[in-house]
Amino acid sequence: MTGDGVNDAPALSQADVGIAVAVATDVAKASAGPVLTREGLGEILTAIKGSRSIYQRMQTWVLAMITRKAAIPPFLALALLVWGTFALTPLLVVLFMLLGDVATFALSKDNVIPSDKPDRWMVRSLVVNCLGFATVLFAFSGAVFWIARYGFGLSIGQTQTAAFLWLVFAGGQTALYLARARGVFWARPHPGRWLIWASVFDIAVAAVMANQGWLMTPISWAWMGALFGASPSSPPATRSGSPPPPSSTASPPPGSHEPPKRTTSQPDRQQGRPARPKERKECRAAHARAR
Amino acid sequence: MVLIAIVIIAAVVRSTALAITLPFALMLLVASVPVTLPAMFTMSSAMGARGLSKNGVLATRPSAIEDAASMDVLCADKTGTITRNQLTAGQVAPLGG
Repeated sequence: MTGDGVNDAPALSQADVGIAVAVATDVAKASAGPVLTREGLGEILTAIKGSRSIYQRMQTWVLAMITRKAAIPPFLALALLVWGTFALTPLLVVLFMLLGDVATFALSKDNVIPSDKPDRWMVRSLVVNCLGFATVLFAFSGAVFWIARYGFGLSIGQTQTAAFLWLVFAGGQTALYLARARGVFWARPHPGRWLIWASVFDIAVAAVMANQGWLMTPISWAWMGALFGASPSSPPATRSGSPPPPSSTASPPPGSHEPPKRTTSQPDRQQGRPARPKERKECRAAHARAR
Repeated sequence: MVLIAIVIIAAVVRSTALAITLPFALMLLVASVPVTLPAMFTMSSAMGARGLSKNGVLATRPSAIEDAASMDVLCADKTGTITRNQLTAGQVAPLGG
């Protein structure tokens, strides 16, 4: 509802969105939500576009958040129930959430394309999408933990560090970039500057802390490279991405190409595609349903 | 919640020490509560409102523009009429598109 006069004030305050125009009386402006500061009603379009952009950012946040919440507690429980250990120390859980929030806050300045239809919270399709993502994240987290602990015989502390790094890379960053994608992830709109810097910050902080052994058992750069290389890929890449045997930790692992985030290098992409495209297709389908 | 229950039951069955189970239950709880939800929504709205204020839309409250995303009917007041608490459709004029 838009209005200008004293008599519009009750309607403006009752409306879902009460908009006061530029020349409106003070009563109308006070009872309105948005107030237009230029003549005419044209700025309502700006308001709607802005609002839908905000909605898109919130939707990304919700997707990423439900994915994490649906994947990580089961992963922690799995480690305790099946392997009888903590997958992460309580401190690492808190640290992971802290780092994750740096990136998600940067989402509020992300580039988005507002949808061309009125937005509704499609709770069912959101949850279905998230469970898809979460299942993959959960399976991979379990695999990383298992491979590190029993495949390569890392100590429990090192395995926890590896799991932490994996979650920061894959659960914190990859999941976020997949969640913000509407369609294929390299399509426009490209990630905002703040989001990219937040990711770089997260990855750098996690990597340095893991290498220096601050608050956790240190692991080598080679392991980190392997985890980082594997984070945008899928099981084949995780396996052939060859985390190095513990003895040769100094040499960089042959299969881990430190790809720039989300733009996987070509070999990884070929090996690593099978799982993700399916994810994305589901995602597209659900978004199509949402429209 | 279900997970915490499962873990606690498993702990009781296996008679795991309480000192291990309790921190873990707490950990699960911390990991599954979206503590940043209000902060994130407020921040998104505030950032959006700041951008809009440069483009001729001033939000009186951060949440004011949130609902505009789901708006599908716009009622515009014509100056000089008395606004009644009742909607009447006079004529429908499709604009195409």
